[in-house]
Amino acid sequence: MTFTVGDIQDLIDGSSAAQKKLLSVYGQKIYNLVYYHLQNTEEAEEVTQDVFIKVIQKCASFKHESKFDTWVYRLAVNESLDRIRYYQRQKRKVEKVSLHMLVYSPKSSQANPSELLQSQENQKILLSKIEELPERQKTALLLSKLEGKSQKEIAEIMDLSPKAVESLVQRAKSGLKQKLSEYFKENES
Amino acid sequence: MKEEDWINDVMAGLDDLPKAEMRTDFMANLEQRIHSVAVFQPKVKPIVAWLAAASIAVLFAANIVLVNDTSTSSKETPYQEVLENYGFITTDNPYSLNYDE
Repeated sequence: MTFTVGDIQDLIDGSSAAQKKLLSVYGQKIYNLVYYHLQNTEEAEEVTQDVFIKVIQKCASFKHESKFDTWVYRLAVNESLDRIRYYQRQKRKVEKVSLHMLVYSPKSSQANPSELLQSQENQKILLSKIEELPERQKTALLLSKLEGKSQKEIAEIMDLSPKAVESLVQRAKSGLKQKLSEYFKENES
Repeated sequence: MKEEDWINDVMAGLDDLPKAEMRTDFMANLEQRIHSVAVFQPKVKPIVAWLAAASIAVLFAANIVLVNDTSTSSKETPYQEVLENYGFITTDNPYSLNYDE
């Protein structure tokens, strides 16, 4: 399901059907992205709500220079990063909750419960290491891997060149490998 | 398990990141919230509002300029000038109590 130009006009006109469609198209996606940035359910809900309120308030001024999709993701990324920076300024850390709110979809090859458990454990380690990445690397990696966005789309969302995005994703991956290696060594001994 | 194998195993998880589950009532609450925001949303486009504000400002500025201009250019109003020209107002008033005239 996509959000068309007609839907945008309906949204501007205050149609509740368009609002419903907006949430069904983007609700889960935006919540996912925000949740992975903040890794806290309450914060993710609050920021997701702020994003959609902004979409409603600003949709009339949306210039069709970029795709609506890109515009919504840009709002979500900016709101998430603003929230993280706010906590950094306050010298407070967003309290991380356990990752029980994540829905693991077992692969068919992981029929064995111990394999499944190991896979979930690995995912938790991976997420905690993603969390430690620098802001922009984390955003580029999440947009690429979580949302399946192309380099061009990420570039538009983050207001960067595709080359810069490629470099950010590469640095994020090598940073992750480095952190995982350190983790492995720490836990081996 | 060797370090490299383990790292590759964990990194493979990047292609299969789990979905974040929302609380059951979150979407319904969000829908209500954005509906209430949309109801109180002004229907006038920002460009129209800016144009209206600019027009009011121009009118206001033009009024100030005109008022200043008329108050400095002549002390007499055109109405008094016409009355004087047609002799309805004379400067030698016979009933004047000013004896210096």
